[in-house]
Amino acid sequence: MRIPDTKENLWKNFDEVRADLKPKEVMEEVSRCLFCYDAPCTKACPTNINVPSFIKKIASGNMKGAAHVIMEANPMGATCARVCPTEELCEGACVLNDASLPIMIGDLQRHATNWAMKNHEPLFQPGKPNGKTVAIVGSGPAGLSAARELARYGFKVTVYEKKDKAGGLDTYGIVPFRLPQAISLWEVEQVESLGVAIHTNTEVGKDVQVETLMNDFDAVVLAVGMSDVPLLGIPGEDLDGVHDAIQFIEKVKDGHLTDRFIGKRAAVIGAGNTAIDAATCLKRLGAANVSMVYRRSEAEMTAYPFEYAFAKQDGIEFRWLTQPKSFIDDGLGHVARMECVRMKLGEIDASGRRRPEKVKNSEFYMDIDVVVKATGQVRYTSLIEAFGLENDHGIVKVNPETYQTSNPKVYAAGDVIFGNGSGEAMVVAAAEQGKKTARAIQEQMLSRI
Amino acid sequence: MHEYKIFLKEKKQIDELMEQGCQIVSVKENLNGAFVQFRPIDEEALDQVNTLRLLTPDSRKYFTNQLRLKRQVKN
Amino acid sequence: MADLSINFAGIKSMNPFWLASGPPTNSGYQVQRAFEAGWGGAVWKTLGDPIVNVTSRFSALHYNGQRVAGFNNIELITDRPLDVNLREIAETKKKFPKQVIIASLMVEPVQEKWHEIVKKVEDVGVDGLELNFGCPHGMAERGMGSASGQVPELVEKQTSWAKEAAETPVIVKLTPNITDITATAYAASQGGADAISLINTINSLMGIDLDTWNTIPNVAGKGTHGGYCGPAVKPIALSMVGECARQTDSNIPISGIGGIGTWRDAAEFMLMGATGLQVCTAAMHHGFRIVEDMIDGLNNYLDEKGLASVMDLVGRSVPKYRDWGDLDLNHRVVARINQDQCIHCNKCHIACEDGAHQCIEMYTDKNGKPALKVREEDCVGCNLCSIVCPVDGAIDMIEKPGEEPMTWNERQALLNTL
Repeated sequence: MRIPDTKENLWKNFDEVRADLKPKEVMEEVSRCLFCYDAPCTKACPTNINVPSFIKKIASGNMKGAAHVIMEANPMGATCARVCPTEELCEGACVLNDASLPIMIGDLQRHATNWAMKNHEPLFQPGKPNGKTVAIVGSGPAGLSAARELARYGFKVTVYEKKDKAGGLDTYGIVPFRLPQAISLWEVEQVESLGVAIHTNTEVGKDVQVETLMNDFDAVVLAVGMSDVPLLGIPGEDLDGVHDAIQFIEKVKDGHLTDRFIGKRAAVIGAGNTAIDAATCLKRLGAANVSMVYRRSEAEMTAYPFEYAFAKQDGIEFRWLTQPKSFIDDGLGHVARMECVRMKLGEIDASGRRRPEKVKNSEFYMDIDVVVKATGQVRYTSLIEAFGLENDHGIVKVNPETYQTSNPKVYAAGDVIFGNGSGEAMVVAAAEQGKKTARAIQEQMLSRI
Repeated sequence: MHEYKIFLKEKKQIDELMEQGCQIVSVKENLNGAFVQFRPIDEEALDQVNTLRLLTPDSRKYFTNQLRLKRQVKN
Repeated sequence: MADLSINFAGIKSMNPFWLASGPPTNSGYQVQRAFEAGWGGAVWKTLGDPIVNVTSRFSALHYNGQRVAGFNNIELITDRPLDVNLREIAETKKKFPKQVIIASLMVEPVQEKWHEIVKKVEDVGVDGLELNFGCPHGMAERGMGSASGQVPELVEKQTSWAKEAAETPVIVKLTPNITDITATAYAASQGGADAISLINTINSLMGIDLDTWNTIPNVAGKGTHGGYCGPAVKPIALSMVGECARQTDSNIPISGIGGIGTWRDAAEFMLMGATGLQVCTAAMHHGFRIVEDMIDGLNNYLDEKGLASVMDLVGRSVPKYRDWGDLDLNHRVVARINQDQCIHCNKCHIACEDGAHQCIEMYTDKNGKPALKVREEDCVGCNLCSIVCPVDGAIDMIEKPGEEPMTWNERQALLNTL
């Protein structure tokens, strides 16, 4: 990364950080794969991609077959090749960890899916129409994955997406230097090519009524994910220069790069993966310095170790045990300073982590021009209520086998059913849930015929 | 597949015949296995001939080793 | 430092490493570079009536990302006039008097032709002659090379013609494209050969291009079979060397050729009866400099084994190379998996399950971890699991006490007494 000084050279900072493997690297890597039997990498993948099989296919030059193996198991296979925490999943399970170095499974998966993107070979066909219809609310990884599978089973699928483009988190929520938007949009295209109708700019509950869906479709899949960052509830949150991380990343991802952060002092509130995404984006947009402000300590942060390492490499500073108290304006409605209070760790709380407590009379001020809040996401509770689904603070309750909600006609998958306190939801988990939901719908519908 | 179990069964048959005082008098090996003829050493029971059909390669080694052992004892 | 010098059929060489007749010995320039690099000798690219070659000429078998596991050529003998080659041989010999130069020869099966060429090459001071009865491609269609090398009578006759004129030792290079190489080895010795060298290249077609359906290599869309060599042929060569070496009716010296690329290969060929060695593909792949580690490694190996001379290796494994009927049927080994080395790739399990005797079980140990175990009573000791195991030391083949040794021949003799 270089420090940008003009808008023109901002763009370069948003190229993918990790390069594609070169052909020789691919050949060496596929040759190193042992082709394990009952392979632990496959078992470690939430979507159970048959990793040895696709690697063997790359080795034999059967690129279409390799892409098919990946995309069959995981409709978000190209995205996951880039964003999966592979060292915690497939690569972490690779038997070569004990003997030499694990196979670069993510990079090989990327190589195979790159081939598919470049060659426009159709990998899947829609199933024979079965006369049944399914509406899917939300076109993120869970929704698209369900849509792809349902289309292959022969359902007529309609997807509703309130945003301009489909893809959800993959299209809008993952920083472009990790995942270019084009990758997500290719996966959307793959789903559309099976005859799935995706209505963008169509918000359920506003542009289409919940009742209409319930009446017009044989089943509904709720896959709306999560919404914006919650309010901190402190003074000055409405000042200019105070941003929501989700909206901020969405703009960057959609290509709205601005030069107004060049040379600015920025603070990111929170220390999860989204907070790191926001911080590294700010740095790439030219911010002079970026501090991550977190009320707990390094040990409690929820970001993946590789994300944390990446942030440090980008020169992000960390302010542990620090909580913002208020944002103070410059007299013109723009944030100029942030009042903070120092924290200390107390007893273990409900999340299993030590509770941060304020240190008396420890207030201090930070001069800042930009604040990005990344302290979690709120739920689409009102939409869930409109469907009349049982939920726990916006987390929809489902039967873990069938992904059916309290209304048997409505299924739910992805972040909308993802519970509190168990780390961050992964794209790969959402994709698997979408697949399983589709299978459950297929089984339920068939049993009724 | 537990070929070893078949061998143990065949070995037991061979051992039993040997213990009964039988000796190997002829071996015919063909496509269907080894057909090993046992006959009592006891003169009075010379007409009691037992033929074992041995299927496993371990049995085919075993009876040969037993045969050699008997020869060595005799000599 | 052990003594690496050899005496091969009367030809003294500072080390056993000679370049085989082939592209690396095409010219004086190359051979002189080789001698500077440390090669003890070179067999000059086969001399005969100048030919014309085609392009392209070489192709290789690449395996799992590894280049040149095997190598194939459709190049013929020298395409330069004899006098040019002879001038360069004389010049090289003058510059490197201690190094060995052997002239490889191939002419039509006519007595006068052999007499003529033998005299010409000996006149420039070569240390020996190698009769090329081996090349399987091109020249064979004209009745030379392997076409004559496959007929024992022709081998014997031509050898004797060469011997009639020769004053230096005559080495007969044998083709492996024959059912029993000892037949032609015997013919060569009957013809008066002082030594044999083997193997020449093996008939081969490297491949087919799946887009054009052309052969590999192709010459304007057409191809022909070539001669196969390189690491892949080593086991074939080693067995043929061993077959010749263990013939009791002949003590003819052997120059081992076929897939030698390291000092380890060299030591194996010598243990199996070769006194001298010839190398081609490895030098084509990596350059003449590979001889440095061949010499150094062999030296260190001899020191480690406490051997004063490389000649002490020659033939030491030959008595161990026998007919199947001489092998002990009662010898028993079984596989044992070392749990602390095992990385749980399960390759042994699936190989045994599908390719052997179904005796490696996958189970979960008391700590809930995956583990593998051999059912020793069903294990036939075939080695497959330890071959496919990617981790050295994870699977050992353990010797089990058994009955007194009994070979198949002994068993049959015993049964015949009934």
